[in-house]
Amino acid sequence: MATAMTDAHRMFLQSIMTHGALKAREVKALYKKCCETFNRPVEHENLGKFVNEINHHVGPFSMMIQKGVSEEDGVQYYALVNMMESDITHLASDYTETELEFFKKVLDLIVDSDTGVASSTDVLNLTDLLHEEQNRKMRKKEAEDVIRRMVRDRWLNEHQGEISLSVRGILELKPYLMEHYKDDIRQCCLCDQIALKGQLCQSDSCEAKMHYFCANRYFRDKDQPSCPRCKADWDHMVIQGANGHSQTEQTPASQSHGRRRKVPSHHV
Amino acid sequence: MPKARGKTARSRQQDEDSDMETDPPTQASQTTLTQAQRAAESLSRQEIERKVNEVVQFFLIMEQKKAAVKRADITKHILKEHSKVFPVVLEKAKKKLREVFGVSVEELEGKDKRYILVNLVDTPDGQDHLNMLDEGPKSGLLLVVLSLIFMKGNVIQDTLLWHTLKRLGIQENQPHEVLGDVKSLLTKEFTRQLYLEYKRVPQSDPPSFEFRWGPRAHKETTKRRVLQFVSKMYGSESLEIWTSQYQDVLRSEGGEGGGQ
Repeated sequence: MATAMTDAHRMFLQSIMTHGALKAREVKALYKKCCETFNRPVEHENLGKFVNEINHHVGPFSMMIQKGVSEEDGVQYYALVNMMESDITHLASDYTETELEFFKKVLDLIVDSDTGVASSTDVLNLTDLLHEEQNRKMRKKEAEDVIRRMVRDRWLNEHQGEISLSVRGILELKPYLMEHYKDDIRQCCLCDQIALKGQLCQSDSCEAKMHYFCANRYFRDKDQPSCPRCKADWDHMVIQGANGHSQTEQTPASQSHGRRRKVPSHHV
Repeated sequence: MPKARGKTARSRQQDEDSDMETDPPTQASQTTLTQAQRAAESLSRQEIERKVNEVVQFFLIMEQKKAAVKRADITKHILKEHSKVFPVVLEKAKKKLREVFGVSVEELEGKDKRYILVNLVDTPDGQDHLNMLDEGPKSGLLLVVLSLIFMKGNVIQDTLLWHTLKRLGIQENQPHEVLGDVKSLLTKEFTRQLYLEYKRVPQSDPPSFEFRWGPRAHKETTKRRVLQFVSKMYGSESLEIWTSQYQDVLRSEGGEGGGQ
C-alpha cells in the first residue's frame, strides 16, 4: 500500500507548483519547513522518498517532480513536469496558437545553434519568418512580450540579450525535443543529458558535446584536455560557465554526474 | 461510441465505490446525481477515470492562471458528448484534488456554473503559500485594497481608493517601482483573477467606478481575517472597537455557518 499524502506532502507539492522550478537548496529548505509545520521529523536523507511518495500520487495526472541540472551553472533544480504530451500543447493554455508557433521557431533557432543560445535580435526577427511561412502576424513588440512571459514562467532564460531554454523547459520538452530534433539534439558525453548549451568537439568527425560545467569538472585537473570520445585536442578550455558563472553553487558531492545517467523516469 | 444518454439497459452494475448520497432530486431541469450515475455506466470505468484525471489537470492549469473553470468548458474540452456524467466526474475530481493537492473546489455565485480552487492546507503561521500571499508585494497591495474596501462598507469609489493609496506612495497613473502599472494591476489583473470587482456606478455621469471584493477574495479569505489585519495595523487586539465592521463579520459568519 502506498503512503498516503499528508499535509506536509501537499504543502510541498503546492509550493513546487507555484514556483514551477526550485533550486535543490530551496527544495531542502522547503522540505524542512513542510516537516516542521506538520510535526514530522526532518530527515534530509528521506527527501527523495518524500518526493517519490508525491510522484506516486500525481502520476495519474501525468505530472512528476523531476530533478534536472541547469545548463547555466550546473545547479540542480526540481521542477514539476507535465508528462502528458510529446507535443508543446501543454503550453497551450497560456499561449495562443501563433505564440506557440513562434515558440517552436525559437526552439529551432536554439537547437540549430551549436551553443544553445539565440540572440534576442534573431529571435525577434522570427516574426518575419512566421509571416512568410505561415501568414501569421506578430509584431515585434508582441514577440518581446511573449519572450518576457516565457522567461517569467521559467520556460526560457534570458541573459544579456541571449535566449536559451531553461531547465524546466528542457525537462518538460524533452520528449518533444527528442522527437522533433532527433538528429540535431546531442547528449552531453559526460552526464548523458540533453546538452543544448555547451562545448563541441572541434574535430569534424566527432559529435561529442559537453555542458560547460561538465567540461569544467572533467578537465579541471587535466593538463592536456582531449575529447573523451575521439581523443582529439579539446580547444575550448577553461572558460567558465556560459555566462561567466563559475561553480559558486556546489551540487552535493553525492550527485556525481557520471553516475546519474537518467532523469528518474519511472515511478513505481 | 456509446452515447451518454444510452438507456439504462446495463444498469445493474452499480458503482459500488462511489459514495454519492442519493439526495432527493432537486429540480426537474437539472441532471441529478442518479441520472448522472446512470449516464456514467455508458462509459467504462477506465474512461471515467481518465476524464476525472483530465478534469483535475484542467482545474490545476486554470488555477495557475487564477481563472475560474466554467462547467461549459469542462463539457466542451473534456466530457464532450458525455456531458451528463458531469456530476459524477466532478465529485471524483473534487475528491482527488482534496486528497492529493490539498485544495477544495468552490462554486462561485451566479447563473453560469463556475468554480475555483481554494487551498485547504492549514499552515499555523497563517502564511498561505498557495494563494494570495505567494507573490510578495502584489499580494500585499491586494490585502491593503481588500481592507480598504471592507472598512468602507464593502464598496469604495475608485477616486477615494486612489487618494488613499497615494499616501502609500502608489499613484494611479505612475508606474510603481516594484508593482509596475498599478492601475492595470487593480482594474485588470486582480479583476480577471476574481479578487476584485471593478464596475461603473450605474447611471453615473460622468462615469465613476467602484471596487468591491471579487468572488475569489470571499473564498480565499474572510472578513474576520481582514479585520484582524486592520486591527493589527492599528496596534489593537480587539475587533469589537470597529463596531459596524465587526457586526458585518458576525453577519458573514452567521450566514455561512448556521443552518442555511
